[in-house]
Amino acid sequence: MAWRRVWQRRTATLLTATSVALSAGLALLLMLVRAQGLQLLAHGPRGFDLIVGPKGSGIDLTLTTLFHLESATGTISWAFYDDLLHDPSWRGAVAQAVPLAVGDSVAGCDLIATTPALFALAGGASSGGPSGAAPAPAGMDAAAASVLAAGRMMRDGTIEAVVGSEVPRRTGLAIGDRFRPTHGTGDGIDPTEVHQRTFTIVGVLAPTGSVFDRSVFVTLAGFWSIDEHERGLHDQALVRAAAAGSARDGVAAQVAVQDGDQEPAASQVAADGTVQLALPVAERRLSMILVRSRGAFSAQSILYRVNSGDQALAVNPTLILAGLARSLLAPAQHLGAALVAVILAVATLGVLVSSYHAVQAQALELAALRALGASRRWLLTLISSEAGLCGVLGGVCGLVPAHLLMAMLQWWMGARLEGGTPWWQPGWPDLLVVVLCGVAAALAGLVPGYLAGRRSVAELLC
Amino acid sequence: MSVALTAIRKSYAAPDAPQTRRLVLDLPTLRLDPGEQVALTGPSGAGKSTLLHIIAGTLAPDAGTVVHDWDGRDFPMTSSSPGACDRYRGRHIGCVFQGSHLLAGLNARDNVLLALTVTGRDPDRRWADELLDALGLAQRASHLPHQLSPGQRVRVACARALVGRPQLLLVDEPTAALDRASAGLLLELLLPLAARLRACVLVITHDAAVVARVGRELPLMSLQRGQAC
Repeated sequence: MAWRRVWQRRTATLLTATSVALSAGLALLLMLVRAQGLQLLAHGPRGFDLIVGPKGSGIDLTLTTLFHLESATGTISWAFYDDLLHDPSWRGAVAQAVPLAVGDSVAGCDLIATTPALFALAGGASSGGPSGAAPAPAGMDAAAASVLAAGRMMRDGTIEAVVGSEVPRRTGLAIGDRFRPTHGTGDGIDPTEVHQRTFTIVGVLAPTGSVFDRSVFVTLAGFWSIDEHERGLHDQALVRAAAAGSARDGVAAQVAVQDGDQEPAASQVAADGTVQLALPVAERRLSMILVRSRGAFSAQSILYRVNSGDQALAVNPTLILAGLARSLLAPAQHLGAALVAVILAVATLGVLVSSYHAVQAQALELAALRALGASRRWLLTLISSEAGLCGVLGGVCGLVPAHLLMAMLQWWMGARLEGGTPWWQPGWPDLLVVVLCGVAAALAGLVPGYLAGRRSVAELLC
Repeated sequence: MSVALTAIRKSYAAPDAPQTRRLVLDLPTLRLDPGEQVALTGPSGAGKSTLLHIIAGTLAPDAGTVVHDWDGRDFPMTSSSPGACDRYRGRHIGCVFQGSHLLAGLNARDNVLLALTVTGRDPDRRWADELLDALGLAQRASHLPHQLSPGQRVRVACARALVGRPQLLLVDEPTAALDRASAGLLLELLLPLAARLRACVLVITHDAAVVARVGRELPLMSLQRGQAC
């Protein structure tokens, strides 16, 4: 009955439902963004539980590593990484460690220098690749190779590169293409500052839904072999030596800097792409190290030991993200909830006004129903149900624009935020919004329903 | 069923002077006996429709009592709660008001069945079709109200009033909007149906032809005390 009456005045219903849909869509969008944010922060990283980087801000280090939202602000020595991996004193706590060096980009996509072990560490082994992917070259980690969508994995110590799944679409680069990285990352880079080193793309990674999809991966040897990096790292080494020397003996340090103030020998690349690095091991630097500990106790032990020293900073990214969620998202959540409430209240008011006008326009019909024996409660239920149906209809219609806006938001944010729900996937916020719209509208319908029951049948029908 | 009205008074606020009340009904007594078919006549504004609504329980009198006697059980309409009046009316009284007031979104059959569904009874589709057939609307059962002529709409309203097998049928100016032929046809079909249900019928009219068909006339003016109207 309610549905037929709603259908009967479908134009008015459609208009009311549209206004509800807009409100519901906005409310849902806020809830989706909130849920997405919480999900991102709750999931944390995959495959590793600690990040080791230069001394400084743990939050910066976490955001830089996980989301590429900040620029790397310092470096740590290769020797530190080598210790983590090979020193017997670390072996009991460190299960795996993967070095990363960042700071360049390719056509807007961040460039990450690492080893193929990264892909196995960050979930590659579990995600699997398509059956058509090339087999792992001899000596290469099979798990790392399994993350490939096409081509093969880059060989360590070469100027080969693999790219994330979205990179070909965003940059036009494909397997076999060559590129030269641009210095810097983010919006503030100077596009003319292009490095001379040329890399060759040998593989495309399967989609991961993470920042990996928008990243270009090269080997550390390739990264260090870039002329500007070699010079920069060499200069940094001199400055560090000077600083260390001045602490011991100011005169000796001055001499050391002057003696060393000459261009380092350039790295050579063999015909097969293998890099003969000229940069001494002592001068090789990293941006951060991803560490998988052997357990919670080991993680705590690594944190304590690294942070007690003066070389590096270790953070547990999950704890950092949880802290961020508590301190930053909580007020935003309250504001969001208030906004959702206001938006739904406005929609409810719209339904109330619409329902009231409908009742006024159908006063004679409703009076006839009363004359037939329809009780006031029956009338109240009928009108409330009609309003509720209108609310549910609007709520359902609101899901579409909300998810489309979410898609746009995700597209705009790109894959910088890892671990979020796909935009098209319905979840509990959708159901909640539809139910809220239905219930709120039904409650709004109680007012005109009550008033309709109070009107004099005799006055209307005489 | 019989209906007994005693000392009924009803006044309205005068439209031009809201502070003053205009007495429109001052009825010492009126009784409708079971199966009786009566035409209540009187000039416009005499209080005919007011009396009908008071009998139906959709309007409360200022004073007086209305008691329905249903199968030996009294139902005091004027002292019962609105909800009880609604339930009683839905079960035992059929009403046809000026204007058919059919629901625009429902076809003729569903409009008829509405009288059952709003009172929580199972829709008796066969009985509804039988009534529509008896009122000459067998071919129009699936038509929406706007697809029916005014005369057909009134007949649907009559079927709707009868579908609950009422013991009292109240009909307010049924032929007001109809031509003479349609009005004649309506009463020709309606009154035998009501008689078949042994329903008491009260028809409000100022149409002599209707009075002639109904048989017994009750001139309202003659029933009222002098000061009314």
